[in-house]
Amino acid sequence: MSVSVYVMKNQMFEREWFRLDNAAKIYPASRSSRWNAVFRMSAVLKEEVNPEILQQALDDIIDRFPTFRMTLKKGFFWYYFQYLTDKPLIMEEKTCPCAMMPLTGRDYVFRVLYHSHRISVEVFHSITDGTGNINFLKTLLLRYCELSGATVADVGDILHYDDNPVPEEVEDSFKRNIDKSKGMLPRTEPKAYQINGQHEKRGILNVTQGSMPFSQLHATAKSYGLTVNTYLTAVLSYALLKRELYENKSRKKPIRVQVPINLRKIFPSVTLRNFAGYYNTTISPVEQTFEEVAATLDAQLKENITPDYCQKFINSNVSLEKVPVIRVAPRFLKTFFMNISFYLMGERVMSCAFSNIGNVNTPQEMYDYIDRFEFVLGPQKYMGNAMTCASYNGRTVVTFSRTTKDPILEREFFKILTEQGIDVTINANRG
Amino acid sequence: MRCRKCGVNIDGNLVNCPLCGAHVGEENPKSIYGYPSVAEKNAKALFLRISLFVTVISMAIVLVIDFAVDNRIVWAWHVIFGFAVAWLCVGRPILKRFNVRKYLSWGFAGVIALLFYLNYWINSFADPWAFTLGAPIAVLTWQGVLAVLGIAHKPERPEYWMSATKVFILSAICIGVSFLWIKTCYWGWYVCTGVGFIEVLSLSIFAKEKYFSELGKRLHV
Repeated sequence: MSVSVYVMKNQMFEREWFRLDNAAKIYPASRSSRWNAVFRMSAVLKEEVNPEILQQALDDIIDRFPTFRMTLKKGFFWYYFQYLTDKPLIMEEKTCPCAMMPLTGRDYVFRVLYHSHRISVEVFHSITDGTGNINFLKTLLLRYCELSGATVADVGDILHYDDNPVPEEVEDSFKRNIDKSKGMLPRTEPKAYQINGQHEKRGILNVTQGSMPFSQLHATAKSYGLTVNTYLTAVLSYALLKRELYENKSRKKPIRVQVPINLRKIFPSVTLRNFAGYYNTTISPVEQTFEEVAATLDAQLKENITPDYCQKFINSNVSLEKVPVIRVAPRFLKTFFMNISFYLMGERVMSCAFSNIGNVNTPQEMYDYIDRFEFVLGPQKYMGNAMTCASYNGRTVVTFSRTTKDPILEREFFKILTEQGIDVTINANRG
Repeated sequence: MRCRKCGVNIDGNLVNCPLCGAHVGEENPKSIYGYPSVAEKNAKALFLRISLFVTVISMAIVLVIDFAVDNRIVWAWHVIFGFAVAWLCVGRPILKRFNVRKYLSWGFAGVIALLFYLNYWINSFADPWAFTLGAPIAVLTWQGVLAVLGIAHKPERPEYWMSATKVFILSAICIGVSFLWIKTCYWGWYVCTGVGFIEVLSLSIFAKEKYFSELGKRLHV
């Protein structure tokens, strides 16, 4: 299958199809008429976006990413991806970020949007994870810059549109890296505290972004002996803890922040499909200082995010899919039970998701065109808040997305950052 | 601009602090970080609400009139059933942006349901004319439309052939049910069987590769 996808670029297998990877299967199953899992990566350019050049750039690169040139179809046993012959079209952004993706079986499950200076790639989570999406966006931007007149001598780690995709980029790395001898993770986790609030109308997502100098963030994190990722997780957990203690409910639940793990850094993989795990950090709902919260989280992340944990994570996920009864069950039954498990074990066990794409690198020539990168998680099904982070050219952008009206978590989070001496500039999609 | 309350800088495209709502200054339209302004009213959702409101009110009025006239509910159930069928076969496909094939499926399912309901209401299936009249007509019309779509619209797409296969299977099930229920087989069933065999034969001869590729894809475990 992989080899045939490899030659797809040459239009030899226009009707090619392939299975969803292990992590991708939950997303179409758990979708509803009001929600599906969408996230976006954006780049804000220094000049206004030229739609003609952007469309040309997309036309040029789309065959480099065979996993993007697909639509999601329903099979009898599983969903599957099918190749689309029509080329995708760019769209002007007219809705809130991460609006519902139309999963009609005829449309692409990603979209390229532009508005003013911003180019965004929004994807349905089944086709790729954050790493795959940022790779796609970087290739798109590289081609856009080239068409705008830039000459990029060394493209670095960016996938060039003129290269052929390799089979390893479209493989299901979960299946390749399973090792049942290492055991599995326990399936049950306790319910976590979540911030409640009045919900916005359907289709509305509030996005609040805080931009800050990376040097200040890094220095502050170092002063606590933490990495930037752990520091931001600690600030988020502390903000949630302060809120829970302020609410002063009789039954207090633990603060649990979901931190994704890029499994490509632990296992040998260059896949552009989903290959991420996660770990839920836990803070007890008792009065404690920021230093105590930071120390607890640092210890948890260092002790638990290990190759052994990641191997168990993969084993747990893949083994479930291999159960014969599950394999032969028709799709509607699988969907029903996956929906229930998503409700019980998905978002209820975490207070907030925090995804950090890290420092985005581009060739030097592209710094003249790109101002900053942004990462936005779409609305969550049951949980009100999510936080992301992306750094570029010495600035870090922390983005909150929420489906509730009041920015409780953002207010608390940025207040802690400013109190610790970080210069934050706030921007939002709805004033 | 700086929010005095939160202590954060505010980007130029905003006049109020997004964290606390305090007024911070005049809008600077030159900011490159702005998002498009989004209208909250969703026309589709509004249509859904209005249509549901009208439907529910109409149902309530029908129930009240029936009860006032007969002192019990007699014919109002049929009107409510009609509303439900109309909603499932017309309203829902429009709101869900169904394609032609799905729209037809829901439409004909609704027609069959209506025929069976009428049959049950008139003689409680003592003479099961809904089976012998309704189903063959619906199935044959279905096949006719799909054949036209398959041949004239997009002949290279095997999805229509797959749909035709579903229709054939449905025909076979109808015939089986007919034999079990009324112990006989009317002319409509023979026509269904004939069309089904011709269809399978033509698929085997003319659309072998695409058809089986599609079938394999849909049945993968």
